[in-house]
Amino acid sequence: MESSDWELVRRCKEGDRQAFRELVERYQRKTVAIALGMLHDREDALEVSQEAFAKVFTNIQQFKEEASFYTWLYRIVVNLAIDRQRQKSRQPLLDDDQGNGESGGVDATPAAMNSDPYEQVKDKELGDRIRMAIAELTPAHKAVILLREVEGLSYEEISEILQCSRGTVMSRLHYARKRLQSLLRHDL
Amino acid sequence: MNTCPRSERVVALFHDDELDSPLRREVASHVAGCVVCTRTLAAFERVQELVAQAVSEQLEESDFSNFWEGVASRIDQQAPPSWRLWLQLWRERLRPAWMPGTPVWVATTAALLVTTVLVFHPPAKDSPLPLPDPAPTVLAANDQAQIESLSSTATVFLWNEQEGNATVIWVGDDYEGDRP
Amino acid sequence: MKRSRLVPFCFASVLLGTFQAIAGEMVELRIETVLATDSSKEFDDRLRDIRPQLNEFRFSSYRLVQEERRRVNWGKQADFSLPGGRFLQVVPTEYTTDARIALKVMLMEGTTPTPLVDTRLSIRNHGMVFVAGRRHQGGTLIIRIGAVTDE
Ligand SMILES: [Zn+2]
Repeated sequence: MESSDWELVRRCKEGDRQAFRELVERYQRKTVAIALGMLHDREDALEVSQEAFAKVFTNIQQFKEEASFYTWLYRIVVNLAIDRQRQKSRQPLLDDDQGNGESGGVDATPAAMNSDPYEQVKDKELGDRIRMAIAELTPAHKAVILLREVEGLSYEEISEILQCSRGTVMSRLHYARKRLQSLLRHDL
Repeated sequence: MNTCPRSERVVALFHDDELDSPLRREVASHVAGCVVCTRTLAAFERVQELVAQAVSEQLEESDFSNFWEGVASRIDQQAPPSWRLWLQLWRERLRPAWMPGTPVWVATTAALLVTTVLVFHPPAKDSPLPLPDPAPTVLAANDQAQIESLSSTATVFLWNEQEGNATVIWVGDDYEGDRP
Repeated sequence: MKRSRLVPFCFASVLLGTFQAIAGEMVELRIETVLATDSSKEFDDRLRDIRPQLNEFRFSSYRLVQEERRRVNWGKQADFSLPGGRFLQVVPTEYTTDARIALKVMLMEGTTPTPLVDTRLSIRNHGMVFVAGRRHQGGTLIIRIGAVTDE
């Protein structure tokens, strides 16, 4: 029978690395999915997720049993992804231009685009258009839409991860959806 | 343009399964018979489908074969300094049962360090005392209720009724004669 | 009860009390919506228990327009439809160490995505809090939120 998160965390606290490996394998795809949605770059997403797991392991003694493991993990992933995005946006725009091919060109900062991003990407594949639209959202809106639409989390869980009220989750979700609906109006 | 008195937000809550069952049933039967809400719901579903699809496409192309190795090497890089490993080794393997978990020399060094610091940097007479943990902020309180946090899109007044000993959250509606 | 049995019992009670006050598994949420106006002197007799509190609002007439009670588990939300397409979401989160019922309350109105009121508060068991001030049918709505749990 599969061990619960709680049981694995307890074993990790005793220094059991195999237990931690089980946790990593259980959540690696989910964390990478969040990081991908935030960063739109596979390499960055894998790195940020690995970094998040390492952070979790190092701080596992501070984890309180009454909290849920994945909300804690996802909070770290979201925060690291936001930091990574911030670092990247400080780099010269040239980097974004160079990164266009592999990552589907979704790294372009909103400032580098014209007033109607859809016009720029209307000839691209649907997947690229959607990623472009997600990239247009603010980090807070991205996080809320990914946690809801990709991970299927409840408002309560999202509010725990993002450390905000349920009301804030609702309104961010509303604005993120409105923005996506308007950017993807031809695909809806 | 067609409109519906049911707000879009309620449909969003319905779509996200954030309504309790009595209201969910009510909204479900409304949506079934309302063109506007059916369209709103369909748009929510389509956005969800597109976002999930875009992320899963990229996820499928990601290589997880060395994922754990990457995590493990990061953990090793963050490993504690060697003195801490020695301390752990002492605690878990080398320490005789009758000895304290922390070697005597560690305790002695720590005591010496503290003494040195105190001798060379005596605390100033008016140095502030460490503050106790701040108590949770309470916006309004009486015997009946305590408001811990409050946000509103309208103008809000909070007050405690004297006679009835009740707390009131007054959400202003801009009209003449608005109380308080 | 013999003293030898009483001692461990008291000890256990004290121990539990330090972590969480003892409460029932469920909470009853009581929502009453009152329409207050200055157009008459009518006082709805069903509101007599909260008359002193209502009088503080200084309206001349009070009528109960809606009343709903719902029993929910801790952490589970209850939604209440209110007059004028508004609705109220209430989640009882915990029974605090000082024997209060902690609630998350959101009041939603109109089409705006952000809740009109989003608050965390705690009330005494059998206690109440009022959310008031919104206009409705020529009057003002006073919503009384009450909560009760078995002690
Ligand atoms: Zn409708």
